[in-house]
Amino acid sequence: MGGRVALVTGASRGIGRAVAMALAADGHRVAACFGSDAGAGAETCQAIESTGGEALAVQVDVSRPDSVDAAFARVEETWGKVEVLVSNAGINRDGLVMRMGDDQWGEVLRTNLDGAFHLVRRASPGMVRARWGRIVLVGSVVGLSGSAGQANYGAAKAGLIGLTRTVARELGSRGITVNLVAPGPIVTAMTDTLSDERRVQMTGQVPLGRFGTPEEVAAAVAFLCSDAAGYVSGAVLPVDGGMGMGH
Amino acid sequence: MDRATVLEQLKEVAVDVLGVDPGIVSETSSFKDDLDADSLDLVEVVMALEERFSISVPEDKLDGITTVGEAVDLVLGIADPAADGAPAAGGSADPAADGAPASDGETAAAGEPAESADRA
Repeated sequence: MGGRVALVTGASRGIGRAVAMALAADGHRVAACFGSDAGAGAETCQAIESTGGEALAVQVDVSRPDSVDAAFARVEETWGKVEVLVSNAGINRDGLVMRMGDDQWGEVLRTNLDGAFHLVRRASPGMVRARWGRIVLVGSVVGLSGSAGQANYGAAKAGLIGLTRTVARELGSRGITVNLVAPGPIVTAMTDTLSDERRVQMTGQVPLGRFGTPEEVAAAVAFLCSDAAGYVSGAVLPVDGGMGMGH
Repeated sequence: MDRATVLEQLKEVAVDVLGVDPGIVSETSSFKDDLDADSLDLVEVVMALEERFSISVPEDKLDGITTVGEAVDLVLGIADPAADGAPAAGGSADPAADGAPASDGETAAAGEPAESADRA
């Protein structure tokens, strides 16, 4: 296993950083993409390099096609075509639908859904050419079960499932697998802001009775990126402690 | 840009992308039936042509392209807008085509300077 060129967005922290490190541990060269926090992006790379891996910190605004193009160009110049893509960058701007502004809706859709589309579109030609590729989109349990206060986030994450399955069909004949990992509540900066009350409530909905760790999500992503997962495509793999069972 | 040049480049692309023998590629070759190309192959061919000719092929222009000859027409029509509709004119249409981009230069903007320099 290993030796591929991988690009991971949102790699400056949380699930993305854990994914970058897991892919590096599998021997892949990892472009760790960050949106704005260059220091944190560099930290991810240092963590990878300190364990003997190869990493490259690359700034990207996934909501902008030109920025995505520039990021890919940088990776291609350094290592060649991207063979493994993990679209993980995501934001949330929660609020009830009745009070949700257009910008609040649009910003989340642009980053979480448009961003994945931009990445997949830019990565596909190289993978088609190589007759091999791995694409993993990071969705959310919210994309399937919904979550009060997260209409924008839930809609974007649900959209990723349709994107995943469509691209899985389009590119399958070229040895490219496309899958989605749907995390439940994970200990990250995104969930740090939850109130204690909400945290207890969410934990109560998880059969395993706890929040997950970024590493537990990363392990599932790394599997889907591996040669071993060559016959898994169009799957929605929950890593949610059982929270979403049945959907 | 003349027809023979475009056809030659298209043959190279077909050999490279589709892995076919150059000998079987002609203007009448059907991408699907003769060259065994599926829809993804065609996208790859188009992207390779866009790169080689510094052109941008609008998606709606791809409908109805089934043969190599039609693809040559398409490239000529985009690279030299004045030659559109007169695909067989070849070199004789070039002087007119040279003047045309001034009024309709957007689609050919990227490729045109090099073209003019070549002829000068």
